[in-house]
Amino acid sequence: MRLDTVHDIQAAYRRVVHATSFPGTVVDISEQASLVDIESHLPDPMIVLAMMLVDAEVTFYIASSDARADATVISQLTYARVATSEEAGYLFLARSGNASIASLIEAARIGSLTDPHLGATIIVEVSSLEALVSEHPGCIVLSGPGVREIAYLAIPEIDWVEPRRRQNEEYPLGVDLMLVTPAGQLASIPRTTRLEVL
Amino acid sequence: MNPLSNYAFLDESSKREIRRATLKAISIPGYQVPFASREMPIARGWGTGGLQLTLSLVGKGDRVKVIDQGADESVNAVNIKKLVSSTTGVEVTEFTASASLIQSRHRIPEEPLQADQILILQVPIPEPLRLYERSEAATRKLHSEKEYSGAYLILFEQIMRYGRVSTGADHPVMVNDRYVMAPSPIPRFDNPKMDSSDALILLGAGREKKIYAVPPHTRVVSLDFKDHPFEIESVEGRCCRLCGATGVYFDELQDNETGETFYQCNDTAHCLSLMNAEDGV
Repeated sequence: MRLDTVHDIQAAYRRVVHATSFPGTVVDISEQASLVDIESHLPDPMIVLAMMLVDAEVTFYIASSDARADATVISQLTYARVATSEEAGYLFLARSGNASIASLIEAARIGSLTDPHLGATIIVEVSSLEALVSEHPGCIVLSGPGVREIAYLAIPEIDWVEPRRRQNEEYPLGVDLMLVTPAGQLASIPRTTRLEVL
Repeated sequence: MNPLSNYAFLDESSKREIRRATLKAISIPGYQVPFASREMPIARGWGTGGLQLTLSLVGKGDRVKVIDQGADESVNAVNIKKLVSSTTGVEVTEFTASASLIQSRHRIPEEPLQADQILILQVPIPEPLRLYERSEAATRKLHSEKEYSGAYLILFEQIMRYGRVSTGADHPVMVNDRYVMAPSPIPRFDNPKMDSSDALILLGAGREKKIYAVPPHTRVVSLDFKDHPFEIESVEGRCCRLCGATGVYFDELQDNETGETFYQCNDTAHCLSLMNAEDGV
């Protein structure tokens, strides 16, 4: 594989750390994604994230046009185990899966009050992602830790916003989201971020 | 660079586990995420938590600064720098502004941090309720219930005994109005720097196997009482004998011969940069 599992994954990880620290910031992992040469129905940036985050210690779930084959690919690459969407620690939801993102988010793991870190990380493919400097009809307004005052994101698919709010109602319980485009733009929305659709 | 070592010492699966814990820590500010702290070539209690965080983050192009009690050149800082640079080949620096990763023990640098920097603090005891409750299972339950009377009780007892809060360092803070957190043994002087910081602050406790974080622009409030408000150490009327700085955190030193007390900047890099600026370097 052309993707360097040490340096490229590290470079992508630092961008993910930045995105998670500053919700509303869009980072670019396209350089690393372009080095992925694995056949799957998942967008390449998702493969980079899978290699960064999952291994034999955690479980994952995939929604894609051929989830079974893709799950085999990820398992073979990382040794991670497949689980149901309710049990998985990491969910990779590609648009080709035509899955109901809303119902998957609503059924995902939210951790317990003593172990809130066991809440799932849900990686969702979106068609495009743009950080805006001012509000725009239909955009998402972000606030909370990591956001200086307010941040704006333009995302065409927003059907996950309301189920995410319900799932994260009892902070610190909740799910953490990463939104990623097929080209490799990535935004992270931890459970502490408050969202409002304009 | 040592060709026999893994890049950044740790194997990739160790890094992956630390990275997962780190991302969850950033997502739940102030909450201590357990992790499988690895054996490191320095003893536990000497910064292995911070070191593991640094090694999981570091990559080509980074510049690493390591501070030990404000000094860049003490044994602990030098050894950690040597390990990081010999296993990665990255540059080390003393200048706060040019570092991308700053690992620190007991201080937050005087120079304000920037959004593209990450501060990594070494933590000996991550549990702010430990003095009050010995059991880890019990403190986890107290955190889950946001039951923090114990944290206030510790401060209350100090006021009863000494007439004031006597935390010399590691004064507990409330993060994002949810978790009481040990800010690591930084002086109270540094606590306000955590509030709405521009940079991400990661905290690692190797011996206690915990990673936690304060994301940027997050509310961090030092615990206090209405009639005993939180106060930082007073540095009024003091100035550095080397660079003349005022309003910074000082080391108090004594001249052995004359017995005279004098003060010197605790943050050696800051002191050096002020002296260089004075000399036009």
